[in-house]
Amino acid sequence: MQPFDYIRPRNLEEASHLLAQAGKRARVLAGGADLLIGLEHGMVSADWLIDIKHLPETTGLSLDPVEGLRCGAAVTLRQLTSHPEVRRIFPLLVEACDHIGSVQIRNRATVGGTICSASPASSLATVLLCYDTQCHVFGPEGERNLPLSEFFLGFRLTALTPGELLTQIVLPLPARHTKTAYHQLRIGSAGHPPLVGVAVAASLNPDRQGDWRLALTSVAPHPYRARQAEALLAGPLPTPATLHEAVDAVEKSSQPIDDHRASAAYRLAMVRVLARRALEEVAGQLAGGSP
Amino acid sequence: MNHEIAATVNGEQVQLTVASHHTLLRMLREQLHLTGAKNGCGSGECGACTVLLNDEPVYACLVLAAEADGAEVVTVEGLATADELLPLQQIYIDQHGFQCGFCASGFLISASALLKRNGRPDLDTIRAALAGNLCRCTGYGGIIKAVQSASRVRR
Amino acid sequence: MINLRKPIIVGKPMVRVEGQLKAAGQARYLDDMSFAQEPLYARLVLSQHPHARIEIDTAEAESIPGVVKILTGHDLAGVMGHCLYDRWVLPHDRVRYVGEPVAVVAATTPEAAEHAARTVKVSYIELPGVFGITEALDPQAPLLHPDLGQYLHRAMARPQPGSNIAHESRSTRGDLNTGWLMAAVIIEGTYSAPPMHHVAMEPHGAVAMAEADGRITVWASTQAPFLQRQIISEALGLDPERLRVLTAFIGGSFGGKTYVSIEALAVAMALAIPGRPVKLVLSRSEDFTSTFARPGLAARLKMAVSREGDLTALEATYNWDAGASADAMIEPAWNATYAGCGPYRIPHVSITSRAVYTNRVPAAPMRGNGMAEVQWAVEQHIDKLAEALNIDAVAFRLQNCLKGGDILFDGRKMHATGLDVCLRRVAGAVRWSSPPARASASHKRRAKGVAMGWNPVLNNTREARAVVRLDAEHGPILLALNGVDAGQGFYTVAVQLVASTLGAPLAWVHVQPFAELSPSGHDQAPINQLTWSAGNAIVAAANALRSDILGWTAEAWQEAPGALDIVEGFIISHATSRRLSLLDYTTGVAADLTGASKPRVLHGEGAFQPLAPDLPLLTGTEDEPAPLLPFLQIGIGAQAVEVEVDLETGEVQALHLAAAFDVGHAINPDIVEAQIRGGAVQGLSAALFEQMVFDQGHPRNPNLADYRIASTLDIPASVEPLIVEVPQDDGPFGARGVGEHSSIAAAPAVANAIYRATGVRLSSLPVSSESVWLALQSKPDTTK
Repeated sequence: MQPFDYIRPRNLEEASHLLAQAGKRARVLAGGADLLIGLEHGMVSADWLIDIKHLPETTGLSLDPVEGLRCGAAVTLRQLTSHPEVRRIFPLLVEACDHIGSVQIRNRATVGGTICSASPASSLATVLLCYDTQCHVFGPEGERNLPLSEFFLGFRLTALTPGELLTQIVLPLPARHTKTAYHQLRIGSAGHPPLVGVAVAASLNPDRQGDWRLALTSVAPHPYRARQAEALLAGPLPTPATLHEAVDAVEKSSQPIDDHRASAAYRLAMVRVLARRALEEVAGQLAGGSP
Repeated sequence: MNHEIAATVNGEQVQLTVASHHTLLRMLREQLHLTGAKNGCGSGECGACTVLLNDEPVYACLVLAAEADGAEVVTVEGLATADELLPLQQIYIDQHGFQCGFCASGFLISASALLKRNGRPDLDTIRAALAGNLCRCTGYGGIIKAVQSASRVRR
Repeated sequence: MINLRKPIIVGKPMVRVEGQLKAAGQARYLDDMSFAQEPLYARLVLSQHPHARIEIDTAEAESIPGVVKILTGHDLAGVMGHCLYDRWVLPHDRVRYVGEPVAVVAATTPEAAEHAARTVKVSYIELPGVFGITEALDPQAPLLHPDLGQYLHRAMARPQPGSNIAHESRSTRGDLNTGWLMAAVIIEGTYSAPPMHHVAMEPHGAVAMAEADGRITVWASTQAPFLQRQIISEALGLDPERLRVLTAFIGGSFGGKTYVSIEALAVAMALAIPGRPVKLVLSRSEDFTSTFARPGLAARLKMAVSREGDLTALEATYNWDAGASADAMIEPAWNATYAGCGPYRIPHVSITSRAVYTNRVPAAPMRGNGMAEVQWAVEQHIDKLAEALNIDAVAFRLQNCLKGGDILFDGRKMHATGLDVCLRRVAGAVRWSSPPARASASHKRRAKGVAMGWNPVLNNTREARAVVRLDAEHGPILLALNGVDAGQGFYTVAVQLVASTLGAPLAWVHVQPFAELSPSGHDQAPINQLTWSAGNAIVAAANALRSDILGWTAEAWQEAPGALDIVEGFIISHATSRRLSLLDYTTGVAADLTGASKPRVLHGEGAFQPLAPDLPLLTGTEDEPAPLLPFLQIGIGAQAVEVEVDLETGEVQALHLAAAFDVGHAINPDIVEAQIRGGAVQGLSAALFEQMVFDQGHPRNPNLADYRIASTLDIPASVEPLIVEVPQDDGPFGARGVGEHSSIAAAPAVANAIYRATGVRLSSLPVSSESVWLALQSKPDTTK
């Protein structure tokens, strides 16, 4: 690894200032998995690594009955999914995180780092999209908030401008009796990012009108919500025909690519299979009534 | 740039000067001569460098030495007390938990962390806890059996 | 009164001799070694193009602070090989694969070495490349080695100058036409396996040091230090007496650390900078791109069976993707030439085996000497034939498999074998005759598959040598041999053999690598089947020492040697009840007792050469005898698996894997089981996941994130190792090897099970979800 400086800023302002000054020569160091591998292999170079894991704004994890879940960017995946209430209220987070990397990775990888690497294969980002996650960003101009769905701009490209860093995310409490499913297809059982992932969260309002969220992993430049399918599903419990239409819409929304792990054709076919399975599972749970 | 850090390594206080870009693995192996943790991939894939950082298993190749300031680190050399191996280590030998042995240190750290958290892990829990460590020789049979037996001994 | 009882040592489970060190993290591997002087750090400059003419400019890199030396092909003229000299220590003007080392840098820090390696300027004039076996065999294909005709080679290598064929050999037996005429069914098919990687958990590495007196020591992570010494000293023009190749603990090899990959570069650098150790340890990605791959294989089979279900003929072509250098592929290519028929009785056979050059990392055999790849083809073909005749796949194999006394290819008789027992055992383990349990979902299907495998091992013309030494100070009993334990547990087995043969306590026996004791004059022991080959040498050495000791003692005690025995380290007399500790032989007491003329350090030597190279041989080709005699000790066994296939996604899950091998006699049943289990899972990993992906010669997955090997979550719920013991006449205590070939039948067993579950045949490895899904898509819709 080529030499760089490791810096622990005293506060967010200092971190932001350093980032703004150094431009691309500085990188935020969170869990380090992506960044240190990049540096080790010479795919990334940096003069400064700015560690933000000790800043109070980035470390908290709290659940509020009104606001929802507030999670600092430096919270590790392990911390996130060790929280019993988080596990109960946001089961998709568990589904996603428990298959990311390994115990060792989850002990270091952070929520913020995972989001900011903006990998198309991020399971966590996918399920966060289903939870209407808001991002809190701190930068030279102060704070701003934006929905996660607007945070991703392209392949490994985020809405962060020079000097900005993600400090927290907020997940509003899901509607009562929200049902969820996350279906992933991986090579082998462990740890590796999915070839395709389909996450679904849905709830019925008192009039039994459904509100659906559907997000996909690994089949576009970044995780995204399949809004057309969501719109098709909104309303009364979907019939098999509606589910079928929704699957068609999901397929249409995806733009998988060929790479050494799978072909686009296979991924596309699997989008259909997994979308159908996930939708049927959730629709079944909704139809089964609330516990 | 260099940093002065203080850490507890295998129960002993150490004060070290570490370079910014040195990993915890490099610090352990080169500065403290604790070569039990191995460099098998440098990318957090093989698990041979697994150590405990504040009681949790991490890949020492993906942690900077400077980040270990104030931390408690345990390597495979720190599992045994004095001249006595942990029951897990002895059972690991008895169950042929390794062949070439290059992965053994990492597995032992992951397994000991698991057993500390969960005295009686079931098979799926054991498999999940060890999935971040690769072994090319054993087919994992002896490793899993050793963890199961060790959990019974601990009770 | 004699109260010593002979303990049972052979056939008994015993923990590994090095177990304590490994469990405590105290076993030192290459990268863990410390040296009196801080080593210089070496780093490779790797080719970025698969086929190109190169020019190298090192000036800027040399000016980087800390850089001590940079070597390129202009500094090193040597060619490496042991069968076919087709690889340069560093290439002069032409690179043949992405990842080929073109220069090596030594610097005072790893950072400076890395920086310099990135700064060395290599300019490339690209040449057209050859990226597959079919392409390579095209008469119009660009040539990787236009000067092949001038290359040095031993008789066993048969290069075809003017082509990309590095080796071609053929064997025939009987008359194919007769075989076809006898047939009720003839089936043809093609199968392929991609290049794979050995993935030893410890990457390749070497530390070399040239002393002022001209002697050079290299510590290498290798399973064949003596072969490495031979190759390196030849390539660098060194007197082999000056070069010692030593090993530390070895973090796995599986064949990948047999031949010289980067070790010669460490030695060359050490020679350029005498007096300081030079350390070259590869990164994981370099290990993938710049050492060796398991060869790719394209197989074409035509097999015939009579109405009675007897195999009558086999015509096979095995074309091996040897990558840019084929030296390491000559032996496996020969192995396929003879053993490419599988462990079957087939009267009429013709097999052609070729190693062809492509612009990829050089190939070296992995665990099974090519037989895993060959069996991938043969064992699926056997299932097809059985199905065509509507015979059960197990019954068909039992009918046709080799039995003891069958006449083999070379006219000699097959030794006693438990192959049929192995097959019955694995079939029983998976309840072959019962239908599989219900699948876990309506879109899934379950089924079982079986396959057999063998590995005759052709390169057993090497001589194993052992010395057992009585040395109270250092041992008290030291064993030295010219083979090393790469992790399989052979040293433990060796200690058991010595203790049992000599009559000494296990704890007295210690293994010392031969090179330490005897820096010259010995070649490499056979690299595989050590239990059998080196085991015989060890037993002979221990017996020699034992009979010397008994002879001298009998003389001193004036008794008949036959009345004496050695038990638990004591020489005892059954006649007079006298006893004397073996330790006293070396402390001087024995000298008084047995006469002052006897040496105080005693040793016995033993050697075992599986085959004399000059034995007469069957017809290799029509006009020329083959240079090797195969088949003395044949590793053999069977595997069975139950799988569940997801018809919608193509995902395959192995639920239950059983593997049985005939090991003759298990010297250490625990270690044998560990070998069988480990091999089975390695074979399963190869079946489901593993391939090196190249895009026009550029490696696309040279890391463990993208090159998957099985983890704890991928293994079947049950992996059952089964030991079959039909003693080997010429084996130590009746033993055969097992580690070499314990992975060879897993992949075809999986493919056969998938076929039985879904009706689709996977002819290419690996059996990825996508490949199963694709096959299911093109399956004609048969509504049975």
